[in-house]
Amino acid sequence: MSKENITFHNLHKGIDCDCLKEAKVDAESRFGRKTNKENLRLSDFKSGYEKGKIIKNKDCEKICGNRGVSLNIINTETRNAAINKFKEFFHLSPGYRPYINIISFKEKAGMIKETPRNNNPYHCDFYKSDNFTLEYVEQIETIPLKDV
Amino acid sequence: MFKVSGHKAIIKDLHKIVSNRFIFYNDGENDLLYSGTNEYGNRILGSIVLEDDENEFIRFLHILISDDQYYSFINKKISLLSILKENESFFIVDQLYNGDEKEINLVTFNELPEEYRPLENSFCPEFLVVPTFDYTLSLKGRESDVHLTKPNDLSDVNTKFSSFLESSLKLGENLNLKSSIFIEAPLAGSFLLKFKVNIESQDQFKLYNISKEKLNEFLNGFFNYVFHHLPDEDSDIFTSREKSSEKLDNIVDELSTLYDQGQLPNKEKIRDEIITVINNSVSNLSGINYSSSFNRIEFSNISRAGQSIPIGSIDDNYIPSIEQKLESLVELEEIITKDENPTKYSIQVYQFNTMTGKGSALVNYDDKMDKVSIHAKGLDNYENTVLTHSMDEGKIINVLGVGERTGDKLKKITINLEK
Repeated sequence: MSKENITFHNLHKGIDCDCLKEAKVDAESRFGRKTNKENLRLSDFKSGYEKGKIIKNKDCEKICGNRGVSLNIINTETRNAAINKFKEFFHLSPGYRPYINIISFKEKAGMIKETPRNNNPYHCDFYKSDNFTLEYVEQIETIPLKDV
Repeated sequence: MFKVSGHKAIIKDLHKIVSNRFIFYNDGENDLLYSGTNEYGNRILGSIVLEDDENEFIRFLHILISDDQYYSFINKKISLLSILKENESFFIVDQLYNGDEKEINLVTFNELPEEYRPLENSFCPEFLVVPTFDYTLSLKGRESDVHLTKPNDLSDVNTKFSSFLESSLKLGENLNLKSSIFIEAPLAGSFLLKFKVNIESQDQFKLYNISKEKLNEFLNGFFNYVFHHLPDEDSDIFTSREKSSEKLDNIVDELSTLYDQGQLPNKEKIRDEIITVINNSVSNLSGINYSSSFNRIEFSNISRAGQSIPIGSIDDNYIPSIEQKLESLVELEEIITKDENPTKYSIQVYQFNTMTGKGSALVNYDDKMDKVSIHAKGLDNYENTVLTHSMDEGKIINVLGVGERTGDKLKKITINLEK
């Protein structure tokens, strides 16, 4: 499936950036998302923009980052390293998003862009499609960070 | 979530970061650990506690911390938990997603539920920034806090730190890098001194394929070692090639990576080079007058994004903490002669550690008073000894000790206090 089959009007509302450049539909990979509760909720997939976070920077990279949802890509080889990356800050703030949910997306969920960072090579942005619902997310495993 | 009793902050905006914001860690959505200063010039460390996505706010701790705590934390010497315990009270700042403050309360450590407290190993995570060759010095304390300083103090610090940087950059000479240092005009109404290091790309530079970024990272690591880890190092690592430390080895390894593999000297030579440069560069920092218009100095690097990256903070404790090591460094290169038997010396102790038995004294030698390192042996603890009495009362005392000399200069006296 390509981006022509799903729409992203909400994502691009009011901006001149193409956030989907280099993004792809990925229904094969597994991803990790830090969450506040054990079970997934729609609020776990709210972007900074949807929550009301304001980005003063006019740079498209920053603007799109604020409209994406941060995930870590988790494949067989990098699973431990990617999960440990989530754990990295746990000892300073054990109450902040204390669970990792391992998930995969169905094709209509949206698109993934790899956005590695200096401190996190597994980082990706997930851009929701206009019709995104939790039904497009498969919850595979929930890991309490205290057990990692 | 946990409820916070309403202890309102008494001083307006004491909790609020208004300048020098530096983000240590961001998870892609939120700043998790950061620092900055409030409008009164106090340093604040901020750390995320929780996100309440049902009521749409994020809760942070804002802790007023001392310079000493700050530098110890970023160098992983103390944990966030230990800072909270030591400071006893701190601010809880609830912030809406748009950045507006929802509520601020001053709380005590006991009011922070256990499940939200940082863990025992809550040390500062590695933070990555792109450095530059721009450095700043900030004079702190006394008149400098109200943007005043004495002309002589300013000139003295400028000269000493220029020499310190110049000596440190000798490490690049074997890499065929030519460097020069420029001082930028101080900002009006501020005591932030700016230094710019210019590294010239010569043919050899290209030949060795050294990236300036790597050299930049190495230099900042070297400066961090000099300001933060050198005071804690055992003197023995500078006098014996058989002994070393993890921190010194890291610096040696880092410098090794800058050499072209075909030109790489052996590690012992690189280590000797580093020790010599530490000795030469740090000795430039002695004699700074901390009792005049400032009482401490902060040394920072400026990142490519314009953020001030803290490297080190020094005050009048710095030189005494490394003085003996500097002398040890000299000993490595020079021939040492020792008294064959304990000899009588007249000394006045002016700095002494009752735990280690190491200190410094003035010694009457060759009819003049000169500085000498003293090293007491034979006791578990050196409180209430002739050496502490000499220091506390400013008295000259006679001791029997084994003197060590480099050339004609008396460098160290070892005194056995065993009863």
